[in-house]
Amino acid sequence: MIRFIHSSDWQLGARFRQFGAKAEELRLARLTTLQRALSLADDRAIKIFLIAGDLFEDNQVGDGLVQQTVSLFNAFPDIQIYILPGNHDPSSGPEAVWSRCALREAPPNVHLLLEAGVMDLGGAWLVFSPLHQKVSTTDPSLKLAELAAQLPPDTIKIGITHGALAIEGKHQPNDFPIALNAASRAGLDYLAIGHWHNWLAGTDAGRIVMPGTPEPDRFSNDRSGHVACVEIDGPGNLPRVDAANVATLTWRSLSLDFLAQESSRASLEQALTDLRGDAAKTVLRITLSGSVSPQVVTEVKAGLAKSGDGFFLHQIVDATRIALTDAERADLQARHPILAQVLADIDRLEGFATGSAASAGEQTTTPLTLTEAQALLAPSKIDLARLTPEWFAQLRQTLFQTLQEVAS
Amino acid sequence: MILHSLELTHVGRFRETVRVGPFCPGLNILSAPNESGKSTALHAAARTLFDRHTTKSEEIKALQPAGTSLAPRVTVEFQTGAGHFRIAKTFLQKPESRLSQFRAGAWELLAEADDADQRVQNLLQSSLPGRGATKPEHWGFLGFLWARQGEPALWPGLDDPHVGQRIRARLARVELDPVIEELRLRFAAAADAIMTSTGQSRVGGPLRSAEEDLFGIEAALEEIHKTRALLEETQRQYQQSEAEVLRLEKEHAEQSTVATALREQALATERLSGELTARQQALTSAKEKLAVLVTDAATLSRLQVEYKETEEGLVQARSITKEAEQALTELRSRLDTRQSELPGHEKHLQTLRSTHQRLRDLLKLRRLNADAGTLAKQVEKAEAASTEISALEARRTALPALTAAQLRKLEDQSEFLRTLRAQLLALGLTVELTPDSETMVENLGNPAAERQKLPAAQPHRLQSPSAMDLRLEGWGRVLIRSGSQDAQSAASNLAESETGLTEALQQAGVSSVDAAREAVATRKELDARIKAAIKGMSPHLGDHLTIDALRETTATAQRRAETLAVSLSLTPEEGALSLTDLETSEATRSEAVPAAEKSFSDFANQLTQLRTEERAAIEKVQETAKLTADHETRLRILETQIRDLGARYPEGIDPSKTSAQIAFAEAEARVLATEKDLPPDFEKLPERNKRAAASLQQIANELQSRRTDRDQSRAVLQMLGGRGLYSRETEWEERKAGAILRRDAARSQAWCARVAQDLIEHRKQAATKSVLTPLENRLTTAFAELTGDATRQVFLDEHLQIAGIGRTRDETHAFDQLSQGAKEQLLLCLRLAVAQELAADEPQVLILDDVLVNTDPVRQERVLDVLAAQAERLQILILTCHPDRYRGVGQPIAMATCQDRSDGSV
Repeated sequence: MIRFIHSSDWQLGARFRQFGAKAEELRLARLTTLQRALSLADDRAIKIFLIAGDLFEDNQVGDGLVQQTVSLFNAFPDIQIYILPGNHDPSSGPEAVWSRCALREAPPNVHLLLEAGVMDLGGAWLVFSPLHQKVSTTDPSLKLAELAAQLPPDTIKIGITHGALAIEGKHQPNDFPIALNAASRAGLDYLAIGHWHNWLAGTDAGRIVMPGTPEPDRFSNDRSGHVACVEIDGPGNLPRVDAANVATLTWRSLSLDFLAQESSRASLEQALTDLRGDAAKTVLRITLSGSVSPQVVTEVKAGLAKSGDGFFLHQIVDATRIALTDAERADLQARHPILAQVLADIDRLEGFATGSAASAGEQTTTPLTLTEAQALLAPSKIDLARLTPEWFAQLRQTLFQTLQEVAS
Repeated sequence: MILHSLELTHVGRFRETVRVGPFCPGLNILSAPNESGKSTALHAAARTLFDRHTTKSEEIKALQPAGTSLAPRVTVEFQTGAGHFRIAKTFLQKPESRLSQFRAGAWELLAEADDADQRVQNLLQSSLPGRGATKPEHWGFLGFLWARQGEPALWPGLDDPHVGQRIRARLARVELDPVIEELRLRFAAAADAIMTSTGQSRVGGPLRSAEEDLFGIEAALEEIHKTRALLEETQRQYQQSEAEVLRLEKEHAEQSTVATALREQALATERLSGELTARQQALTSAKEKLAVLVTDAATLSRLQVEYKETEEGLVQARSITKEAEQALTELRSRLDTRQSELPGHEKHLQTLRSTHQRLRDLLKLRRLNADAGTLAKQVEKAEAASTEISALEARRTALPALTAAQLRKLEDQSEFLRTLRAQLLALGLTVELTPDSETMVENLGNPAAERQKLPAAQPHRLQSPSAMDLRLEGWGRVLIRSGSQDAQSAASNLAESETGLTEALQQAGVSSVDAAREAVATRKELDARIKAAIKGMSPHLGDHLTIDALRETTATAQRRAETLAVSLSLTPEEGALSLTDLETSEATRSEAVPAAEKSFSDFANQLTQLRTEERAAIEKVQETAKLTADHETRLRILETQIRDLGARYPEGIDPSKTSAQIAFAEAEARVLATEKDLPPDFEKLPERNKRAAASLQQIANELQSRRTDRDQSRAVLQMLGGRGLYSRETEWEERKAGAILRRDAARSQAWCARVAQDLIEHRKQAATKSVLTPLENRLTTAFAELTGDATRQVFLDEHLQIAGIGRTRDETHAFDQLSQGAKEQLLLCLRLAVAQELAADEPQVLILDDVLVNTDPVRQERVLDVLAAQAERLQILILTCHPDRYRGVGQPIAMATCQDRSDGSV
């Protein structure tokens, strides 16, 4: 029997452009997760740790990161770590990360699988087919079949490569498509692959596993955060695969729809309460949607901002649309007729800019014409075509907020 | 605010203290000559009211008396809705400011120094610039109500947020929503903090800061991208070099093997090649010897055959020569026989030809004579016809030369004459005589007329054109005259016409019209006859155009006949022969001559043939003789050659040839054996060997070069790869994302503020525009009062600036294009309107500093009417150097010197 951990897509050094200053912390979290995964192997006395591609986000990651990574590996000398270059960090030549001093002089438990070949794991053979380029239409597992054919028949054969499973409609043709029967075709007992970031097992009678990224990196990757703990009793036996959660951070996306405000708000509050216990390790995004009065949205945002305190990262996406009730509209018309006309003008402007029909707001006797709108915007060099619905929402919000401040 | 009085010390030309005023609430006229200090006094008052007392700007210094450093001191007494005040300021040296209020009959000091300045500013709703002296736009309402000297057509903008906006609101009667105005101000401030009015980012603002950050980040990223591009390019080069090195290494190994094999092969070949050369030389020698023998054997054989053939030819040639000589002898005998027959044939032919020619000449003579006779007859007939034509032409010539047209003219004249005569008879006298007894009457007026007999009791009429002179037998002479003028005129015409006709007849050569008619008819007949005669002569002329030509032809024919007759010398028998006989004989000879000629020709041909055959026989004899001689010579030569060739090979030529063949076969076998040991194309091996060595060296050189390239690329790649470009790029990209977020947020915020501000302004202007009409009507009425022209309307724009005047808004004359006088008057109307509006809250002063200089006397009077009417609600202060224009109007204001009072009171 052989036991090993199969991981992939660590993407160390990944870019989190949209999170600004928090991006560095998100990168650090990935290193933490790697340490957690190695510790898991150590805890379970698993001596083999496979990385099926994309250990690094890019071949040009900084030396500091490479050094940190090697130091981590160095901290677990009893675990044999087999690293396969993926499409993000292909073994493409001297410029590749694999030529760095830290990796060239890595400790003996680190094995770089830079060229296709076989390796004796002690009780099993590791057959590997690394990537040498970023894109290719060639199935990298074909090489595995060729190599495995030269091995003794009654031995456990574990393949490792990187690429997309050739599932119809789900993969790009130049994304190293791997046949869905790649393991059985090559006579492998297990094929460890990596590329996609969500957990995917059960292919080719459970012999092909793609564990996904061990540390989530986007809100849509809801099945990420795992490594595969694998056991194979003997040649020809099906592997036993266990998805072990090793993620440091949890990414959660919540929403508040003002169309069903009460139920939506209750659900949101409940979800926030549930997450509160693990807030420091949660990346949270709350999306506001639906039509709502400016005052309400201001209040809600203020409340949510407060609720977001304590979370590792907290994002509010405002996709609401300002809506006035008839009473509010009548009151505005009575108290500030010019402002009511200005709001109507904003509706007209939005219509001109986005092509949407003007809302049922105040209709002035002399509606704003396109020429007037362009003349208004021209001195400030504001291009009507660049004005988006979001910007108009902000404009209305700003208008009401300032009105509130002035009135108070 | 209205003014009560001013007091100035050390101001302009006033080195002493001068008091201006007091001003009354209505119309005040401050009249003084130019440069007497009127405007200076008012400017000093403005500085006092609106400038800080500590201001040391040039405008304040300009108040000082020229060439002095005296401190200007000004006291202004004024009244606002808040009360009656006095501000006294000393500028430049020991500046001070004191504000007092008149309460309960006494002046009470309210504030001093900056506090006093601030209190006055609040009272007058004025403002202060950041530094320096104030300008009219800081002077609150007075900035609009003071028409300054030299600037009568200038009107401040109304965009100032305080005074201008209030005036706009008041003028247009738009009650501004203070909340909205505050909103507008806040948005304006928010937008201004981020961007300029032209849409540029504000220096120091968040947008500019983000843009600058972004610029720096993008520069850093650009640098990284360049390095990345370099890396990728180097990577490409490296891969190319690596592939090339592998290829060259493989090629080098292959080429090295090939070169070694070639070198060894070349050495072995060199040895074999020497051996082959020696054997080839031996073979060549044997080959040459054999070739000579074969040639000699063939030559001997050929000579022997030829000798035999020549012998046979000689025998045959001698036989042929003999036969040819016999044939020649026979041929010459036949030729002699035929030549003796030739003269007989020639003579017979000559005789036939002569007879035939004589017959033909005789026939020709007969025909010439016949032709000459025919032509002579034609000449006779033609001459007869010609004579007839000449006679007819002579008759025609004798006739008067009258044409049909001339005849018609004469007939017309005759007809006209008859008509005239009839007219005259109708107009003339008619005397009817009925004698009792028979008598005679004689017309004495017409001597040509005969006497007439008048039977008794029978009426007899006599007629005459105008007069009648009768002699009646038995009665005497009766003279009757007509007095008719028409008859006289007709008679005159008749006489004239008769004369004309007579002259015409004379010119035509005829006596009367009838004669003329006959002459014309006769001429016509003669013309027809001449034409017929000419036509009848034409067949006689034949092809000849004239009778002379016919005669010439006839003479020629006769001469030729005579000449031929002489040359023939006819015998009597020949002359007796008929034409038929001649023609028959000539026909017979015509057939006989060609037959004789043909027979003679055949004979000549036979003779020629015999001569040709004779020449051929001679030639054949000569040829056979020569052939015999040639054969004999050749036979002798061949005998010599055969003898010489046999002498070369004493043992015989065939045994010698067999020995040579054996030697050649042995040499050839040795060469083949050596060639078999040599590789194919062995002669090219040395060159190939050299080429392989050179190629190997080239590959080695190229391999070295590629290895160097690859190693360099590898070194560069390792160096660039170690820079961590991606991590650096990540860092900058994340910074860039942050900067873009900040920039977009700032720009979005600025755009929100600016659009909100602009929309509010747009709606305010729209609101203002909607209420412009009443204000325009007020201005139009005031302007009509000034100009006396009620047909034009004043139009304002949405900024409450005067757009122009005209009948409709679309047909206005723009304000800038109006005359200076019209501008002055329009702005006076506008100032009056503003003052009226503002006076509703508190009294207002309207200052007109010599502004109507461009106004004509008629309008001046109207202006005074308007000002007098407005003076009931406004304080109006007019400064003028033309006192005559304002004589009798308002209250004159004095400028008087007074003692300086230490407490500053006036």
